[in-house]
Amino acid sequence: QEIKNDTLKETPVETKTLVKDTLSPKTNEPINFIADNKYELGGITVIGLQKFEEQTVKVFTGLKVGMELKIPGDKLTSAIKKLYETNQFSRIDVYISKIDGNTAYLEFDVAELPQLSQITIQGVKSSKEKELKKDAELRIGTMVTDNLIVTTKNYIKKTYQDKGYLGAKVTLDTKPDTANVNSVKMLIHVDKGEKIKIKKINFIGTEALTDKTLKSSMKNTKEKVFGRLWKGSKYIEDDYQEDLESLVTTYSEKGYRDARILDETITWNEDNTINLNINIEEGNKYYFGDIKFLGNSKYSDQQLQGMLRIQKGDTYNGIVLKERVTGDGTPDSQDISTLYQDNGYLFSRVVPVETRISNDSIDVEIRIYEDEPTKINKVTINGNDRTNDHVVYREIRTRPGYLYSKSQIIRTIREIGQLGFFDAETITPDIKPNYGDKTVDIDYTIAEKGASQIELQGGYGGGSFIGTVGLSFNNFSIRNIFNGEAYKPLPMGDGQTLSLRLQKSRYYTTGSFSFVEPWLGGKKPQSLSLSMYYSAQYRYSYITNDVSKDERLNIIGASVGIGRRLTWPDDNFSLSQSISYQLYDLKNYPISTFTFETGQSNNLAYNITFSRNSSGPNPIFPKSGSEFAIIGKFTLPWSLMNNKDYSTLSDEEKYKWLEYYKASFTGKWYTSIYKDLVLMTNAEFGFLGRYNTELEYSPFERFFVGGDGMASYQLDGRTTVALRGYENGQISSVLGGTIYNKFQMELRYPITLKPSASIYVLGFLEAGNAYDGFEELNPFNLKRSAGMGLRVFMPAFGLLGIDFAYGFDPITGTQPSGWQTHFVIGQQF
Amino acid sequence: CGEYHKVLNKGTAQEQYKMATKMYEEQSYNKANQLLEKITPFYRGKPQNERIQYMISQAHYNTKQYTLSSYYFDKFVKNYPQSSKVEEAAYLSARSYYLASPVYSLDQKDTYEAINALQNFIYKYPESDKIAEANQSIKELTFKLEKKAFENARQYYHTMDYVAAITAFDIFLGEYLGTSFKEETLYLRFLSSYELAMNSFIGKKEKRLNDAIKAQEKYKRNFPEAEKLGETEKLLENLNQELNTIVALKQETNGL
Repeated sequence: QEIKNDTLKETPVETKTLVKDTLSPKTNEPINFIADNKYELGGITVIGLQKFEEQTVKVFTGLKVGMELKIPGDKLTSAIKKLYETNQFSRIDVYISKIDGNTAYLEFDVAELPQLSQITIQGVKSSKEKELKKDAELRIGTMVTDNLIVTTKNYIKKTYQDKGYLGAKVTLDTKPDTANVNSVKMLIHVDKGEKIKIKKINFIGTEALTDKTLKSSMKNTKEKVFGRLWKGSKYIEDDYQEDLESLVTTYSEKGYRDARILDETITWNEDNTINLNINIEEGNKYYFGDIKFLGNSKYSDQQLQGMLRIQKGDTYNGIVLKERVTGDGTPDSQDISTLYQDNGYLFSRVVPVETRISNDSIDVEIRIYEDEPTKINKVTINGNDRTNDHVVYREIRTRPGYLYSKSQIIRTIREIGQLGFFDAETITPDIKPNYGDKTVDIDYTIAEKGASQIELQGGYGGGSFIGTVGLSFNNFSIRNIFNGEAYKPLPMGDGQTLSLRLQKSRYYTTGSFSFVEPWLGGKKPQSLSLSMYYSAQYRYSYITNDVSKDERLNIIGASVGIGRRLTWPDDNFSLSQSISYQLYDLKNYPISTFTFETGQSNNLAYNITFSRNSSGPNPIFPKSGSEFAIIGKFTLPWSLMNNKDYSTLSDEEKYKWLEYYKASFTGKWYTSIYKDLVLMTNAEFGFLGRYNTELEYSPFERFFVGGDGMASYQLDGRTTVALRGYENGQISSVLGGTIYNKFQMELRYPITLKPSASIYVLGFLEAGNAYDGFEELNPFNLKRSAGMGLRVFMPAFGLLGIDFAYGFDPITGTQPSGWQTHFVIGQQF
Repeated sequence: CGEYHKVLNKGTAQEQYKMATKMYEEQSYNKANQLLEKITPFYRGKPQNERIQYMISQAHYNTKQYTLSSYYFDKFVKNYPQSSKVEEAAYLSARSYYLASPVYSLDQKDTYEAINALQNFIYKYPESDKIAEANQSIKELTFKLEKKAFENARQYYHTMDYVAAITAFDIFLGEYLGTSFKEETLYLRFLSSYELAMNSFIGKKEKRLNDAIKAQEKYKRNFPEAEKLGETEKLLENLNQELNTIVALKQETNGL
């Protein structure tokens, strides 16, 4: 192999300033140029330069002295192309300046484009000036072309017109900048004039529909009305054109399928407002005539008619017809096309055709090309940079060998989103049909998002330092925990949840650990969860700041659970069961729950939860579906088994093994009211029972109703129920209620649903109460409240929120509870 | 170090260039990179830029930032086709993609890029002494893709979705003809069709039993020495027995 000349070493550090030899005389000798001959490049000169260095241009051409060159040839063409691509020149000509035997010398004659050296925008605020420059992409150093001048001027004018400044005037001048070489200064003058408001919208030729109906169908173009705050009465061309279309749509929805806008004019009023005059030809009102189905063999006419829900004689409505036949664009559209698409007929086509118009009725034919059922072939995913394939594949419901189904794709998107590892708003299926063998490939594109939270805190509370370390990994990979290479920065991608939390202050220590594997063994969606909990606290005197280690309460807890998704009654159901155990070890430590100060108490319980979740698609902001859960918790009936006389036992003996049973129900429904406006309806109730009427209700496991619902005190297995507008736990009695019920309606509207931060506002009405025993139960005596709030969800912090709520009912006395402010951290209502 | 910061923040382009070269030669690639990125605008279009671009690419490569180094080496190859380093850069660009390619169970975008880049390198520089290494890398990468496809098909078997497993195994065998997973695929393909057939309802049973029998035949024909052949033959007996029952039943009921 020949040793190549090392081009990297040739270039010295300092830039050479070359003497411009553009004035050197051209050779007078005749040039004997032979086309298509190969020449050696002897040298390049560049003329016409003002700002650039000759050397720079030479480098840009990619030509090197000594190289072989065909004239004309591809190397020369590409040299010219490269120069044009720099966007610095308006003209490039190449000449042969000299031919010396087999050596050719080239001359590049170029004209540089002038550069912008200064941009001034007059007539606007300086902050606005900056914004305009940025939006119009005007920068110092930009090359000035005619195109730039025209587009800039139009852009600025349009910017103002779009904001309602109908008469905005923009002038743009450039003049040479004498201080710089080949540069120009740009001066833009903006006279935005006044905002033009619409005084009146006049309809001409309308009879069938009232002006009021028509005006309300124009969503963004409104008359000037005093007191309307949420929508202005500015005239914006684009919105207006859109609204004109919705006028026609409104007519066609009422059977006037021929309605059209003949013309529309703008007239100016003296007070600098405008009137819009819209001339409409309504045409006749039509009705549906005969409706026929053609080409259907899979479904009968009756089945299809059931989907169509249009009868002969109904007012003609082209939009409804189209929606019922080809879908309204929402995921749960009920239409004929979706019926076919959900049952494998990917290649089916359904078209409504108007066949005959007689008098005022229109006959319609629904033409169906069923084609053959389509099977799914390859199913792939891409974009999983951190999460392993198997975690995603097991959630996919469109699988090879099965019939294609649109609704299964939609469900897959929802369920991948619910994993919480991917950006739920950007999961997109790429459906690649293969007409030849009636198969389809599906490729899901997903994008990872952060799923781990770290909490590190130090603070001063209750007279002493409190330190907290909390780690929560939502997409952990425990098998890689000893694999150094997997630490990027942590072993991730197997969909396991691992969390650790440790909190320590002078007088208490708590530690917890939990681990969840959602697919134990990878065969079925059967989850395994393990958790352990330890806490130790000492008597602490706020007055002397002393900690007494002889007075303490230790709690050790652990639980093991399994859960799985069910296939019956439908596959949104799941069942989970667990065994939990807590040991309370008290020494000279009086707490309200217990009636003894020294001793041990055991809480061994079996927990069962039967739930259904079909909410989605985004778990942070569900727009549809519902969530239900029935929860039961039971201990063994110790008192019925051990033949002891409980009436004579000491409290310590009585509570050696806690006994109770507890059941609760919660249900949530999500309904989309208008686009992103969602109504969440919630109903819940629960009660605590006893096996032995000789015993009191368990002092543990009670319901504490009222306030923000955040479980801050977990010692006694209590259930904390939120009821805003009241203070924490205020509604239930001091020891906690044994029965509660609650109803809630909450309207939510998202401000943004980006993966970096989801924000929504909410308004709510709620009511609930807690009772001590069935004797007290009065399900209609509820404590009511109303309020509003804000939620912010950021992957790194979890959920943060604030609510302002007014409690209408008094707790004690006759004064209503009044305004309360609630802060919400890391929890969903 | 003090001097480095001084030059980084206040030095002229020439000083920064000198310092960058020094840092680069001392293998302080992060420091070199900071300087190099700073002087790039100044040297744009100047002859020194060739060396600067090369150093930037190498520095990223040496600090294991393979996504960036593949990009910069690519750019170098495009901008300086005449450079004496172009062959090396082309190889390192491909090599960067290779090194960036993750474990089989993650997205394989970089793997496809790497195969493509290595393939192009082999076409373009057939004389290069890196050819053997490039071919070896391509082999590794294609094996990775093969393993991915196989594992994803096997997951359907593992989760007991035998319809999906059969289709996925068939697609896999069609796509990777000479695959080293062929024996296991044929074996699992048989087991899948066995399970599907035996647990099938009567309407589809005969067809599925026949399919399972065929799957066993195919396994036997391709791997007559296979270790698990005996096991499959026992299952084959069950299949034949079941098939006889069905056929008898059919005759009894006159095909109804």
